[in-house]
Amino acid sequence: MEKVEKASASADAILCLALDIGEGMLKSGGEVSRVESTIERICRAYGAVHVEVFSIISVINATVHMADGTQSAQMRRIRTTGTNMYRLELFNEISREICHQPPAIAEADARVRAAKQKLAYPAWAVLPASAVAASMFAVFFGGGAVEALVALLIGALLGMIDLLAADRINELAKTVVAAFVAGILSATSALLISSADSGVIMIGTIMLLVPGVAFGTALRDLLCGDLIAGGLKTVQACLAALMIAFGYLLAMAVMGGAV
Amino acid sequence: MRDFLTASFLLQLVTACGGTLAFAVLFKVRAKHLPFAGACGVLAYILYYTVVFFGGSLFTAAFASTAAAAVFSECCARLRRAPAPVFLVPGTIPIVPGSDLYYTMRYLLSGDLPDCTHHLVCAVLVGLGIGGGIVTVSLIFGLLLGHKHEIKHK
Repeated sequence: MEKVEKASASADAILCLALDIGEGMLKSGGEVSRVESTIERICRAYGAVHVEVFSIISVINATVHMADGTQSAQMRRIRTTGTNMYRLELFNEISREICHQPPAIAEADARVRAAKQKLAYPAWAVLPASAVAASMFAVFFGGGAVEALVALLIGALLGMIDLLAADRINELAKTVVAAFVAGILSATSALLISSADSGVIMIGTIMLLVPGVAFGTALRDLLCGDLIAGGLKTVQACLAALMIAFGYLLAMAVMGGAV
Repeated sequence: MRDFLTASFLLQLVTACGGTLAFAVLFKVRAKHLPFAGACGVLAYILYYTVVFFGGSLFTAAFASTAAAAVFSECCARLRRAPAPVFLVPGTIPIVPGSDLYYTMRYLLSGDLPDCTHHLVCAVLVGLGIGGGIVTVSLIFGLLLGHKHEIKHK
């Protein structure tokens, strides 16, 4: 039964399924090396004899050759990436099961479609999470109760910006807006409450924007040999840091350096 | 000699844990993995603090703490059957040099270039430490377990 299924699946359908899973991983923040090896393994599980995959953060290219001589070449353009560990885990799970015992293509397709719909937390969870993260780090970097409270409010607002702007505006533009808003509000809070330290409030809130982990993974890709993907990620992380500085400096210019 | 266990260090541990958990939710780590992601962040910060306390450089501290977090994540990944980044990405958050980046911008604004470059260099060193820690551990785990993950060529 298994053999019949393997033989009847076309090269196009197999590669399409593998790319769906690879695309899902890349969009959820999976490493380029993980995406490439997953696509190769899935194709081989369905009987491919030769697989070539090349992925960077914005595109996946793949070619597959089957035992019967048929072949397929497809490409995927990836426009938005984020960090969604729940989906990364789901796609990883599907890929592991396929490699263990390949199901019918239609069945695997249905599982991929279902995984794309699943949410670990409701969309509004970004509000309390950003708020708590900002206030925790305001205290972490030396703030007191007042700073924690102000950072909590600004963090919630940044969460709101994130929620409203999701997929609508460019990621870098969003960073500028968020850094600008955080700068204006933390400077204002220091004007209103004379004891508040605007510095730690700002640090707590920009922790939400700082590409620290992105820089770390960019370096990882670079040093592991994925030069193009790693290079692009480094540029992306440096640009994000520049955009934070741009938004903050803009806010300070508006506030007349009132810090 | 300063005390190792100060009230501010304990407060930092609590907030590092809370902050890591909040970031884990932002990164959509599922609820059942949250305690492990939080533990990863706390472990990383304890190591970072310890290295700095005993006079280590920022780079060494960032490298050692991230490497420890990466080993912890690889172990969690195998025990909990989830990809390692699920634990590592939130776990390195307490090491991210947010304050250095802020002071870089602030001194850039006030025209205080020596202080500005000092904090910029600190931020870059910590960033390199984080990257180096992740790479080292992933290479070692790749070497040790490589045969399992190697794709079989016919």
